[in-house]
Amino acid sequence: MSSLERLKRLAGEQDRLLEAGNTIDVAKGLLSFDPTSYPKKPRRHALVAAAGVMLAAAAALVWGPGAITATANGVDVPTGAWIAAPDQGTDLAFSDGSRLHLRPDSGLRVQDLNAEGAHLLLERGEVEVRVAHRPGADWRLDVGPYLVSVTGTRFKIRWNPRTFEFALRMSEGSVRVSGPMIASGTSLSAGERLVASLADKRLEISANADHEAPTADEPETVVQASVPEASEKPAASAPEENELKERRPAPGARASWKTLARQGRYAEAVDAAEKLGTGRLLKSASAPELMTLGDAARLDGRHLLAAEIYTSVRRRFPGTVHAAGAAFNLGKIAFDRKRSYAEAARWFSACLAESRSGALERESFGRLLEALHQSGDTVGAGTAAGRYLERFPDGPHAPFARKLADPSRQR
Amino acid sequence: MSGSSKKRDAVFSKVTALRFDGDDRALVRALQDERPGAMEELYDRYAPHVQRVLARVVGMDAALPALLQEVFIEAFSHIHSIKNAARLKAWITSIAVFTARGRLRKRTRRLSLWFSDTALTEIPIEGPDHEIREALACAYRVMDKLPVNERVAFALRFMEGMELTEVAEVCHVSLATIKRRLSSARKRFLSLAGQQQALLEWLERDGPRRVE
Repeated sequence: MSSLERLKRLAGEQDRLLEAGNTIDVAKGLLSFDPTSYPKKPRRHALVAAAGVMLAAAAALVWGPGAITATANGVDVPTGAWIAAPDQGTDLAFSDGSRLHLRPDSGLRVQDLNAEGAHLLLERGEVEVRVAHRPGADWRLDVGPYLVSVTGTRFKIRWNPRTFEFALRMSEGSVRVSGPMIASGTSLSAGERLVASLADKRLEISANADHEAPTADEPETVVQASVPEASEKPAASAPEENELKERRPAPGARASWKTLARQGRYAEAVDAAEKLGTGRLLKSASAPELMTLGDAARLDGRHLLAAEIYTSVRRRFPGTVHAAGAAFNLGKIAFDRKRSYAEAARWFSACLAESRSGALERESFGRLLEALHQSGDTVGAGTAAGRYLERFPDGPHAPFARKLADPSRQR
Repeated sequence: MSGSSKKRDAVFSKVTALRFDGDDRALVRALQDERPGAMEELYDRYAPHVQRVLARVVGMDAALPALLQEVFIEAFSHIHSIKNAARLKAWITSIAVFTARGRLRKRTRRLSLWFSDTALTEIPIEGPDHEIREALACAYRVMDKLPVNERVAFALRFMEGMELTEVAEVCHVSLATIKRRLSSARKRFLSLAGQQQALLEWLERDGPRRVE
């Protein structure tokens, strides 16, 4: 086998990582399957499109008369610029008097600058926005699957592309927000807050507890949209409150466990979470947050804690993609750490049964073959191998499945 | 409400949409006719493939979910323009390749402004899989240094295992061009891989590590 042919094995490992990520299910939840949602237009040829993009980019560099300009730390920010905020955050100043403050660990792209305003894309993190009031102002912020339309106002907005959580807090004026669960759009005014968890299909609009409404231990709920999925939901809006507070640490404060986990500092993330109280988090954190914490514990080698967290996910959010993912990870812990192959087979079977729309299906099926084989269940492994080959004839475990299905090929 | 209408409603309340069952030609017709369930079937049928193609080209990028959505939004919006329904897979693959190439170019532009590596390759290195994952991370570090067109061709050919003609088709270039790009990419990759010890050791090792 040549060295480059071995790259295909790396691709197999990449498939394992992909399927453990639940991306397909989560992305599916964000797509509209209503044909009227998509304008019908002939597809440009890719080369023509590429040329168009290049021409558009070139044209954008030569701004038309009256287009606003932007600077960050004294540096001109052209259309198409991607800005990653350093540790202390960064400020963007626009020639029309508007201001943005990009919080640490956030990323934002300037999609367009024109005479009326700007089109921005918050790729991740949190940004404080102050759009100057002026006639005809038209600002747009793409935040994950949401579009925020602004004429003149002040607000904070946050997007986490990993957990698919969106939060917007209004301080002044009003904005219009459209996206999943609010397809027709909704207006938010000063003092209101919108929190959406796409993974949990939950959206809440409520009074902003920070805004002249100090009653708000129990903020008055204005609108609540919920798509039933799990038999149990996270309690009220406590996790979002906690997260919003964590996102605004006092100067010098340590990073939150979620930030640390995102940075791959798993040991520190778990330590930080334990200081907050893992018992409390197990009861109040959302499913994506628990999965993040569980993964951090697992990757740090604290498998007992990881197993406790994943078990909690399965108990609190049964029937969700997170529960299936938790079963998969419990199977990995049983297989890789405990060498308890029969237990691993049970977890991978549970994951297989609960995986919807193919997410995790192939990976859990493949790992099930390995677990059955290692546990000595020859008959079960052979039967499962046949089913695997019917379902995934070219899957990464197909060669192994062929050996299991045909014992004469086994060494 | 009359008794018969109550009965009818009771029956209809139990009706659920049947899953679409047909080949790619039938699926394209159903999509163009806006039949219920067709769009979801396209997603279910090709999302794993599209995700794989995207990942092969851009690596384990934090933007993968957004790129996956982008490909299907593009496909849903342009389904009426598909000319050969039997080539649905190649058609959607070409959209994925185009989207991935755009992502690579944006990453390159971003590097010229402010550098942040948090959205780039993110591969958890852990436990018994650590060697292969380290090699995977190294492979993408090397691929990050290839010109975009060469990287796309290299990833599709050597990571995804596509045939030369398929690579040429989804990249919308001639077979000769793809051969030229691959030849150049191969030389560059092997030269650069020599600087990544973990990758070099893994590529030169004989025999599989994991279950075969």
